[in-house]
Amino acid sequence: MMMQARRCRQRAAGMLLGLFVMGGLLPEALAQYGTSRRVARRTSRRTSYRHDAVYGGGATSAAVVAVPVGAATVTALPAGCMAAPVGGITYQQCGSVRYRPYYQGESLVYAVE
Amino acid sequence: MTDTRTGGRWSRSWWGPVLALLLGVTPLMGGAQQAKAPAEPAEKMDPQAQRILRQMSDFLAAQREFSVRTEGTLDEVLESGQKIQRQREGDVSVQRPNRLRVDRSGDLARLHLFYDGQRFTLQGERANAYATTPAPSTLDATLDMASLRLGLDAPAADLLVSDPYTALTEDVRSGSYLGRAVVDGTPVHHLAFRNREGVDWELWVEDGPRPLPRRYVITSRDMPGSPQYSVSLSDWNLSPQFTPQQFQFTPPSDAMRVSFAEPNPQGGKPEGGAK
Repeated sequence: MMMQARRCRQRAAGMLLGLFVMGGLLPEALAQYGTSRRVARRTSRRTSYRHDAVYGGGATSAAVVAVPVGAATVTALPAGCMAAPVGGITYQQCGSVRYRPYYQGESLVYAVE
Repeated sequence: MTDTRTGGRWSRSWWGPVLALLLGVTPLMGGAQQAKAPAEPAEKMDPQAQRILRQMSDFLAAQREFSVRTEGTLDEVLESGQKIQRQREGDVSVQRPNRLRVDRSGDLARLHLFYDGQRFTLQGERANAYATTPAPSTLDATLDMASLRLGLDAPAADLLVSDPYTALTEDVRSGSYLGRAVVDGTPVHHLAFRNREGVDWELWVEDGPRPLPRRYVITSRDMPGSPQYSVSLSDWNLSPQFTPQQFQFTPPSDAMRVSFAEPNPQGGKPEGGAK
């Protein structure tokens, strides 16, 4: 219990740090998207309650991965990248930089590894 | 952020500041509500609007399988305040309780969604990429997962769930019947609703033996610029001839497999976290 509490606090601290770092990166990300992505949303909040009931809130799978906090992401790769499959995921090797592709919502993005 | 179990463990160290925040904000919210109260009495649902919404929901829920064509627009509000409208159209196929396929084209991408009762897959045709994940055993739970964990929010998903009436009316504070109208040449009833949480929505329901939704508009009036989502639903087919393969995804051999990114708890998609 103590361990869990500490880990949780560490995670909270990490998250705050992440917010801070992301805050710094945000203008660049927005420049790429050209938008703050504030979109009309569905009518109901029902989902949050039911989802937690079904999935226990914390269920994870390797197929859904958090982009590392602070990782730079791009929506288009530079020229001359090579596909580099590792463990079923197709990384992109662009010179000395390796990108990992993600679907972020409906957008394909590449995060620097 | 999605891990609710942490909520309990946070409590000791975090409740203090959170409470202080809440207390600090509450007087403001109270003031706003009081100012609004005379104009919007709570829970005022026109009986005719309620009846038609109920008929539509029951009729939809009773369809074991159907396909429908959707054409819609989605507003995005830029940081500058400028509002951009994106177009999207697609074909939606549903087989209850656990099959879904969406083939969508739009301004940004040609996308396909597959849900076969076991896996949920998003495929981007132009990028020749796909992401796939194990999925819950029902369409309802899978739609929730897509919205909350994958950042894939279908604003009209409330029409696809097993109990649309409950999903649609959960936050409703008022509903009105605005009379008859015509959508795509079909006579319809026009309904309008207000939710407690800054969302207005309208629904046009076919008049006749098939009370189907023909048009659906959502206005997020609590967001700057009040962005709207609007969709028209046409070509309803209530006896489609589906094959199991339609809902299964087979990756093209040259396709790039990628991961789903968890929605960013801070920026990114607003619908996953804060609201």
